[in-house]
Amino acid sequence: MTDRLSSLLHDEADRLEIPAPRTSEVLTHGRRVVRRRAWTLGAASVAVVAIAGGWLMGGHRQHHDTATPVAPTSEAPEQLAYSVGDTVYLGDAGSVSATMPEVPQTLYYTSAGVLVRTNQTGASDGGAPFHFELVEPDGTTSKLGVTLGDVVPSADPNQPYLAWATMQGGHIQVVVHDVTTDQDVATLDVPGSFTWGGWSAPPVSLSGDQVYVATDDVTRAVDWRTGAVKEVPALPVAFPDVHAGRAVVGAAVIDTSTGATLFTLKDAHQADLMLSPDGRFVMVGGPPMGAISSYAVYELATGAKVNLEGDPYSSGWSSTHELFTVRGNRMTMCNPADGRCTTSQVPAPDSSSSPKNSIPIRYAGRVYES
Amino acid sequence: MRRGDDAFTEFVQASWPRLYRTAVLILGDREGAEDLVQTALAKTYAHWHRIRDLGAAHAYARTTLVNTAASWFRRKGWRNELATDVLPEVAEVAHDSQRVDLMAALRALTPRQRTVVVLRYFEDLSVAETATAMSCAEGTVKSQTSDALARLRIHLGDAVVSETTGAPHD
Repeated sequence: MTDRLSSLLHDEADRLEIPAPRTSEVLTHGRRVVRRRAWTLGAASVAVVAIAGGWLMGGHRQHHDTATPVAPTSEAPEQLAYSVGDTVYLGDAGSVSATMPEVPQTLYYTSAGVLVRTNQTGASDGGAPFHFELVEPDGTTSKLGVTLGDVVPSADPNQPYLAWATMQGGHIQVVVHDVTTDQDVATLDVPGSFTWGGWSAPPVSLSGDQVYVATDDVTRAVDWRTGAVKEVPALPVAFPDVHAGRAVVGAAVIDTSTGATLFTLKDAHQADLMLSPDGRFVMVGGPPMGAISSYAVYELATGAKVNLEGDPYSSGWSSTHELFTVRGNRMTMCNPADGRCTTSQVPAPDSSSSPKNSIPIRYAGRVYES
Repeated sequence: MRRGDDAFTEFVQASWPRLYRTAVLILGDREGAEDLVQTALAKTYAHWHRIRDLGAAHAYARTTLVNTAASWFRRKGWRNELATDVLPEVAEVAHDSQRVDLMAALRALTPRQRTVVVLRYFEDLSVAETATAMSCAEGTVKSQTSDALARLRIHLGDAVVSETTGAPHD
C-alpha cells in the first residue's frame, strides 16, 4: 500500500513554512502576460522600420486610397510566428523563441498561443505520427497529449481548440480538443463516408463553432457545441480551408453560411487564391511558372488591391491578415490594407550549427499538407 | 463565480499554500517553488475570465504549475534533470532523519516520476486526473508510477513503499 508514502508526503508538506502569497507580484506578472497576449504588430516593433507611403520594400495601393486602417476584428490578440529548424519564433522581432522536441511541420494560431504540429522530419507526406506543442506568447511551451496519424487537423485563431476527424469502425467522427486544458471537449458523429484524398480520415477546417468535414458526397458543417450537422453544397468536396466563415472556391470567395459569392477574380488564369486568417483579404498566387516577383492581395469588402513584392508561397500570415517574409536576419511585414511594409531584424539561425536549421522556414497561417 | 481582480486576489490567497506545497515537493527547492507558483498563478490570471468555478480554477492553476515545471525541467542545466541511484546532497537540511530520507529519495527520481508521485500520493489524483494534469497518456502515468515506486522502495524501504503497492485510485 502507499498510505505510508502519502502520509510522509503530507507530513513533509505540513512542516513547510508557507511564505506569504506574492499577490501583488502575481497580479503584475499576470497583467504582463495579458499585455503580451494583446501584443499588436505595429506598436510592438522595436526594430529597424522603413516605411514608405505607398512604395518601398513591398507594394503600393492601387485603389481606394482612402481606406481606413484596419482594426482587429476579433477578441484574440494578434500573433505572428514562424519556425526555422526546430525553433519557433514569435513576434515581429522574433525575440521570443521556443525549441521544439521535434521538427515543426505546421504552425496554427489559436487564442491560447501558437500550436505547433511536429514530427521527426517536418515532412507532411507520410510524416505521422504528429505531436503538438503549445507555445504561449511568453515562449512557455507545453506538450499536448494528442498524437495524430495521417490526418489534417485545423485551428481557429480566435478559439483555443484543435479539431480533427477520425474513423471509428468505418464511421467518421470529429474531435474538438481544448489546447488550454489538453482535453477533448467534443466528439461527434458525422454522416457520410470517406475514401478520397489518401488521408486516414477526412480533412477538416475549424471556423468558429463549425467544423467543416469533406466527406465523399458533400462537405458538411458540424456545430460542435450543439452537434447539429448541415450540408454545405457551396463548398466542393475538396480540402476545406475556411477562415471566418469564408472559403475559396475556384477563383471566388464565398460565405459558407449563405453560399453567397463575396469576391470573384476576373481573368483568373489558374490563379491560386489564399485567404487571410481573418477572412478579410485574399492573396492571389500562381500560376506556378518560374520565379514570382510580385503578387496581388485584395480586400474583400472593398475590392481594393495592393501589389506586394516577393513570392506569395514564401510568406506567412499573422493571425489576422499581415503578410510577412523572413530572409536571413530580415523580416519584411506588409499590411495589405494599405500596402505599407516594414522591415525588422530577426535572429538568423546558423544552418551550420544544426542540420535541422537547413529545414525550410515554416510560416504560421499557411497550409502544409500533401 | 465572481470575476475581476478582487476575486482573483482571493483565489491567490486561498490557493497559494496548497500550490506552494505541491511545488516544493516537485522541485525540491523552496525559492524555486515560490517562483513556480507565482508564474502558474500569473498564467491563470490571463485565463481568469474563462474559468468557470473555483474548483476548476485550482485545477487549472495546478495543471499550469505542472506544465511550467516541466518546461523548466527541459531547460539545460536544470540540476534535477537526471535521476540517480546515488542520493544527492540534501540542500535544505532537516532535523528529522525520516524527512531527510523522503526529500532525498524524491530527488533521486526523474522530474516526471517525482511529479507523478506528488500528484498521485500528495494531491490524491487518480491516474486519469494525473494524466490530464501532466498532459500525457494514462499509460505513461502508470509506467512512471511503477518506476518511481520501485526506485523509492530502494531508498525508503518496503515499510514505506511495499512490494504489493498498487494504484489506490485507478
